[in-house]
Amino acid sequence: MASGRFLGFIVMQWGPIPPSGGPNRLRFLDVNGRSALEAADTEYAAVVALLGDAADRMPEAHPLGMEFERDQIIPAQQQARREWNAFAAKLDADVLGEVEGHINRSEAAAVAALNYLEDHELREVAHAAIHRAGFVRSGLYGCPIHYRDDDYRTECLTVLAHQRFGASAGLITEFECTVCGRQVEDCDHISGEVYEVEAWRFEDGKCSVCDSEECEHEVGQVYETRAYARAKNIIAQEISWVARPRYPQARPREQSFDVGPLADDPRMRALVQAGDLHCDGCVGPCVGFNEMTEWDLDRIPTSDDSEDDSP
Amino acid sequence: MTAKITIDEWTPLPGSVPAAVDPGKIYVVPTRLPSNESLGTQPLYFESVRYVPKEARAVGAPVEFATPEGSRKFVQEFSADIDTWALALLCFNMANDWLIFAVGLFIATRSKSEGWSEEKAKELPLKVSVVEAETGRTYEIEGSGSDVLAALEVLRKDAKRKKDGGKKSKNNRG
Repeated sequence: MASGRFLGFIVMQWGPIPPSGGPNRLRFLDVNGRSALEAADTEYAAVVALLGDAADRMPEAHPLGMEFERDQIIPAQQQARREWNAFAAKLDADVLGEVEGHINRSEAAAVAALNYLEDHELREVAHAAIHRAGFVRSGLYGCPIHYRDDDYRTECLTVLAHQRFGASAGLITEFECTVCGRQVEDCDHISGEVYEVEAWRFEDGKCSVCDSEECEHEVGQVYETRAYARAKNIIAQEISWVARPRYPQARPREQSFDVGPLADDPRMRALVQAGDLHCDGCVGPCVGFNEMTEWDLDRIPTSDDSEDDSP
Repeated sequence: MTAKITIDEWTPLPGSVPAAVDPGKIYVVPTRLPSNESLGTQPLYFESVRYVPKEARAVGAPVEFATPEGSRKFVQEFSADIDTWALALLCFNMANDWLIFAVGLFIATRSKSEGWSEEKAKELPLKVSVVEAETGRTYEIEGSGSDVLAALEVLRKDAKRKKDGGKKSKNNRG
């Protein structure tokens, strides 16, 4: 069951709709996952190169798969934090400035890789790449907690990547044919085929030949154009949580953060608003995934139940 | 053959079938209710059936949507979890030769979009719901694609036999 509330989601992404299943989807996930993993490795290699000899003296991460008792986790995080503070204090400020972009991109690419590869043989490789980058990023720059709209929040990619579920939008969409403007299901033009047609303008002013508002195509002139389905009148019907979203990156982007009994203390809010409250979760050991596939859906509280957020 | 056939348990949604049914045609029926009132009460089609009548028209097969052009809405769901393909059809009676063709076409369009081979696509789970206008009887057939097609063939032959038997006995009486 999820701990904390999820306060922001990516629901869809620009570009072609990913295949829903079958060999086409497996290929899509494999190609994009490997590419994201390569990007994560490249960015991490840049970090190591920038750190030079100091890279050999970086604190050591807790090995994945090593089991920790609940009461050992916070002391392990605190120990790692002390080691990172000592390490970072000796680094040149310019190097720190240069490293930041690379380590952020490495972490983001590793998270994207896991989202593509969660049912793939490279799943644990992507998982390890997330911890590798999250450990360095949080170690060097911390992981600030934010306060907005009466909620303490974290946007930590490493923490959020351990919530294995995503968003599925139910959309009602009309698709019009770029050759004739009728609904694609009602005309006889074949998607991908080239037709000679007179240029005309859609209701939104875009050109039927090139789909741009400003172009050289003259209305009434004949051009070759490829038939495809152009989305219009998109209506969101619902958004659901699913274990495997069709858009692999349609995942939570923000999660509420439990600061304990001091949540309502103005001093705590001031600390957060000054950017001085950090979470050390990702410098500590991995506490495992929260897999939606393992949730007991009959035991999920409804909105009528208590609003207790405890795990 | 291991397809499971359930009779008269499925009911088409109100507004999903036409008042007049052409005995020679197969109709694709919408099966999803809108999830909120602002979308009206008109049943929705799943995106997976959008191109079935178009593909049928391309080869001259009499398969069309059950609701008129301009009124149809299609819902796309962006989960990758769907493991059973589903299709709902309306025919005048089960003896219609195009019924099996329409189901085969649905399997073929889905296999093309997901990249399955023709044989593999027929092994995947499928659920076909059919309403027979002549009797008002409904059928739900579940199994692998090839089992569902085989079950439809049995139902088709049975319906044809009854139809032909009916004609013969009328003729005998004459």
